[in-house]
Amino acid sequence: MLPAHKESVRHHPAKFLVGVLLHAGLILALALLLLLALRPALALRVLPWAQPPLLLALACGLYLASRRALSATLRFMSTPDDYLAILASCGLLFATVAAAHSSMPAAALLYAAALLLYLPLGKLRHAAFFFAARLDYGRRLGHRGVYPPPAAGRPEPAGRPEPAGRPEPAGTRPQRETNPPNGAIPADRAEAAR
Amino acid sequence: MRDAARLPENRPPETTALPGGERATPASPPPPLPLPATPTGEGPDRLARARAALAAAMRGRAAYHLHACVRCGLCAETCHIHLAEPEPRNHPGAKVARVLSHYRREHTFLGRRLPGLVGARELNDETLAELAETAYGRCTACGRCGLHCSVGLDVAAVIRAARHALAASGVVPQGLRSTVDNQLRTGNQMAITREELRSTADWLSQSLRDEMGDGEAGIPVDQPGRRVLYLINPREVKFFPLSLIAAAGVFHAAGESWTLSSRFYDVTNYGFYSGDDAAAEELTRRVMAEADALGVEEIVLSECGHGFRAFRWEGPDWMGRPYRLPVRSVLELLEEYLDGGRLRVDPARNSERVTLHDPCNLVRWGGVSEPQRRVLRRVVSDFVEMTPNRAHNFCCGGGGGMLSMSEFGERRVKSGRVKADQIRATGARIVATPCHNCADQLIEISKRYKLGVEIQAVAELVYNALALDPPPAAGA
Repeated sequence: MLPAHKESVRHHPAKFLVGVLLHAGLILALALLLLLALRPALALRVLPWAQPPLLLALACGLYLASRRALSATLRFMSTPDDYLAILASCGLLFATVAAAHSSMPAAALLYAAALLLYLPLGKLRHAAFFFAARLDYGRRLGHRGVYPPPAAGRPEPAGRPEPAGRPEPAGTRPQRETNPPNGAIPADRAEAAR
Repeated sequence: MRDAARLPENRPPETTALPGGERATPASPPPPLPLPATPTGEGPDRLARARAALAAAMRGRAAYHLHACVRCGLCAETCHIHLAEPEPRNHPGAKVARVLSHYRREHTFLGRRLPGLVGARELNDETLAELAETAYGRCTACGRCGLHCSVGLDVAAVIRAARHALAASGVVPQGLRSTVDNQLRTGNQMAITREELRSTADWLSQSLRDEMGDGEAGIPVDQPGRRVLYLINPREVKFFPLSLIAAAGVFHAAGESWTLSSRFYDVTNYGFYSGDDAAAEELTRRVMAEADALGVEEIVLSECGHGFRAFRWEGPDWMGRPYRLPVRSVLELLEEYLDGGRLRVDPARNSERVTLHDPCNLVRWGGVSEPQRRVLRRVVSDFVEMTPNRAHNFCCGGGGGMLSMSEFGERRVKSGRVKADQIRATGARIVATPCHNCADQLIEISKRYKLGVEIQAVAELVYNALALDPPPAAGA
């Protein structure tokens, strides 16, 4: 589902854009720091050009941190870890910007390494779970014929079971749908049912 | 109109005359419990059960969604409960955060070592009660916030994981627990006896024969070798027989070979709502065994949102194997009849403006959004969509088992304000909804918000549009 189709985006386009800019800046910062580790000379030539987007992302991050602190609803659902995550991310952007002007650019690499250690422990783990959640949710809705929405043409009727196979234990790993998807009913069966 | 005032006048008294002069007994003792009742909130191990169930639920897919939430707060306007009562506790992000706080405390490194940093909270009697208030009382698990989530996570999966933990610990609202226990004990959520079902089917059959002017029409019960086993909502037997008459009339007009079962005919599955998967699986398994015993070729589900989702999609997962038989909604069958020319309908018989409410579990979770529309366009003369619709439709407020939990009744009706506004904007006189839960809630919000609309099942409108020869009696 495209962002433009989501109410969360349609109701809050500016806030959504701020979030996108922050994440784009973080990806850029990580890419530059990787370059700094592998090709320091090249990275130091590129870093000055990356200052504007990194600073923009830093501003976005600081805005999001202040928004979390100032909104009563967001404060209600936030934990110290939420503030730590956004400020640590801002720190990464700052360290990357500073690397271009510092006599010790490797300090930014140390900061990034520390951040990567924290990443799987706190809120930043959404960096991985974002993809897992979307994959799981999309597969489920797709399997059931919910999304993408049925075209103007006629969707197939709901399905006939596939031959019984090895049962999947529920709850031990991401469950796959045991029933066949919508549209699995063979044409001859549909005809016979008429 | 789905209202007790329109029950057929020949509704029998407690004791019913059966063909052949026999008298049906009004009630008989229910059979013994085939399963232990749902877990209770007693016992020293209830917290351990809750922790284990939460962990087990998270080992499935729910953990993905739990950890993907960034609490950005952008989903506030997607939730009908938060729209009606915009307080922080009703925000979908806050509901996820509450579940996350307990999961973190028990099952994550930082939650165990630095609970204050990540807001981790221990599961104890007090927090379990708060979690129940959130998971059962502030969320219908309708999934609308997930569909519109900027990250793209399934909030309802997280709520269902919390319900699993609560069901395992026995902290389930009494009304919901009783409904599940009724289903396990008697085979149906309203504890209707087999005799009562048979006698109701008899007098409804007589009404149907009178209305259709056809002595062959009727509601077959426990007939082996029929093509279709039809599952119904027990509310149709107890309170809304017109929808059962309508389905039976349509089946008869289409020449369908079908039967009800007097033992396991309940399309609902409140174990799905409570989070008790063992009960939900048992209820599913019984129906499948009954279908095998009757030798049917197909199971058709009456108009029921969560019943469709539970049987069509969740049941095979609970049982760990695919069904032997196809399972589909009666809406798909109705469309098939119309496509195949098996029904002659006259939309002029439904001349008032009709709109359609999409039940969340049927449409957003079940993928059945179009058959009911194509059917309605052929049987009513003035059909209008409400906005938003289909997978984006707002929950009526009665989902997630809300109707069985009286302690949340006022919040439920308040949350229906969003749906009331949607309906009012259409100018419709009739709201069709293929779900009895939704119908009950819509009747209530129509009264509360003075909408003045009638609530009907899709099959009722199809039945009303049947071009019978001779024409149906007045009031059919």
